[in-house]
Amino acid sequence: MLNVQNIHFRISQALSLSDISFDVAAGEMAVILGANGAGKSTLLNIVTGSVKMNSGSVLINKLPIQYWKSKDLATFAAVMQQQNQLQLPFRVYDVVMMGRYPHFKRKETADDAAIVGEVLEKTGIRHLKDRNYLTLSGGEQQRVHLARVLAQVSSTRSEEPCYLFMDEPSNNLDIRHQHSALRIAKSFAREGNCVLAVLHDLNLALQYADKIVLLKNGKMKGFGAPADIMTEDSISEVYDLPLSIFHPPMGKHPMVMPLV
Amino acid sequence: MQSTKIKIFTLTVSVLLIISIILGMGMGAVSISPLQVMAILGKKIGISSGVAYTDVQESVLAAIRMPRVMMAVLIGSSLAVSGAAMQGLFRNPLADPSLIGISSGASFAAVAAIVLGINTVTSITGVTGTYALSVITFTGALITAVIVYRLAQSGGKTIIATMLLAGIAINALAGAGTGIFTYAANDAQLRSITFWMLGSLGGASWNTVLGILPFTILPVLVFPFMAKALNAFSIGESNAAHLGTNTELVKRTVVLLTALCVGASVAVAGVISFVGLVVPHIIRLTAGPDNRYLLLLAPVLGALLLVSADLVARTLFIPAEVPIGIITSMIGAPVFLYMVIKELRSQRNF
Repeated sequence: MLNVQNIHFRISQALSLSDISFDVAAGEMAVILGANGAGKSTLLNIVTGSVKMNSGSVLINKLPIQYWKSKDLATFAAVMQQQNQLQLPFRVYDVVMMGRYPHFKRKETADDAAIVGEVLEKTGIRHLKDRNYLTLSGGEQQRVHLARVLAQVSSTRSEEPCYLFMDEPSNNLDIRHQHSALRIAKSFAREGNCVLAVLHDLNLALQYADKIVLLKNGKMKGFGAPADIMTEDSISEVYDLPLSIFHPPMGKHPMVMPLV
Repeated sequence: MQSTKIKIFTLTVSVLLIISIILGMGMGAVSISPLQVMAILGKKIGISSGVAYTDVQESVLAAIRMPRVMMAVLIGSSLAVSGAAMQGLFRNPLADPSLIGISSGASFAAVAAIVLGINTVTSITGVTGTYALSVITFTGALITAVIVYRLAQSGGKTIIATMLLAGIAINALAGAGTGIFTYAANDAQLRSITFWMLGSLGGASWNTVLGILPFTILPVLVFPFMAKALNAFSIGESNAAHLGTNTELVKRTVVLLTALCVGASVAVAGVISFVGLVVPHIIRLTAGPDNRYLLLLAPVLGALLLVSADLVARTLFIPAEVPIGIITSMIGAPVFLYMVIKELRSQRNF
């Protein structure tokens, strides 16, 4: 499981992450929520080890993040970033296969190819597999990277959970693909893995998150189940906007609506 | 489909390379036919044939042509593979050691050393002399490579405009510096300065070949092992790190080995531009951008390009020789312009 304890990090003169603690158990999907500039991406970068925190600890499978060799970590933890820069005309298949790089030496095995085939199917981009990545739309490119990170954490034979970290996975996606991306992430979590995602859409968070990490100006406003954490008062304060939560008669999940 | 295409391409380039080597050894003031070339080479490794040739032909081949062609092979292959690796590092097909100022940094260092009369360096002859000058050019190349890389990186991204502009600035600065030294230079020094600025394989001997051998063979042997890491780099440095790539090691190795082979080749042959740009571009057009093929094919095509370019340089205006840097620039500059236009178009689309 993922265990985050008392993180402190100075982002800028005006903004510091302070006293942030939460954990994500195997089988859970946690979502970080907060306004623009609240420190969400920085927090994710600290948890994935790209940014070194000033103090605190991040434990992955009980071992502090800084003790993991990036080579070993890459075999069971994948990060989907907000921005992906690719300026060379790689094929979609080759980009997704990069997710398997931590698992083979020079030449991909039949297993790797099978896994790539599976995730292409799962993310609905099989028909794009021979296309030049540079010719895809923003949403299609986003799905390619979703497939890539899924390929990276697929079928590692281990008792310990795998990890999927996602910064804005619904970026550029239409409503159908937003839900399909989050359903994929959620079912990955349900297989006994940990998912931690930054989201902007409160309704997606209400529908898919098991746990919410609510951030405001670098401070944690709450951590727990969505029903407990996402109250009208708390989210209105965090986003500095009057928000109402209501329960649509035909839906399974509550919804957030701005009162403006 | 893709792999058959790559196989045909590899075979074609390899056959052409062998043909160009035999032609390169045969053509010139003393003409040696391809059959005679093979007979003489055969004799060296103990195979006798019935083909007749003169002693002059044999000694010209052994003392002049062979080292010259060898030098073209070494420099061409290492410049091409370094260009490909640089482009992997900068995540952009326009990064070329000569365009971004690494070569001119090296040649400026060489010219400065010669005119300032660092006699201890220039008076050393033989293999050690090549090594000594290589150290100076390597230093020039390394400094410029590090400067350009630092300038072009911003928040984990490569700013391509900055990279190319920094290259222009460094090229201009090195050019101006070299220009100043030409006023301070005497006649003999002037001749060698022109040589460094335009590039020539005319100084080839077995000593220079041995002198650059270790520095040029290293990138050809090492870079293919970094293919996966450089592929991962293309989706961004932090993404590459999350795929388990040791990004610091990759950056240092690419910058160091590139500076090493650029430094060595500038020391013996001057600035030969665009090899590192054109060769990877042609390979990407046929075999795709995967570094696992690119870094293996680039040395072969790079050798072919430089052996052929040198052949043209030697035979275009016999008995005069055109500097080889002019030939490669005439091929490379249009390709570069085409790539810039293509890049601008693709940016407009997004």
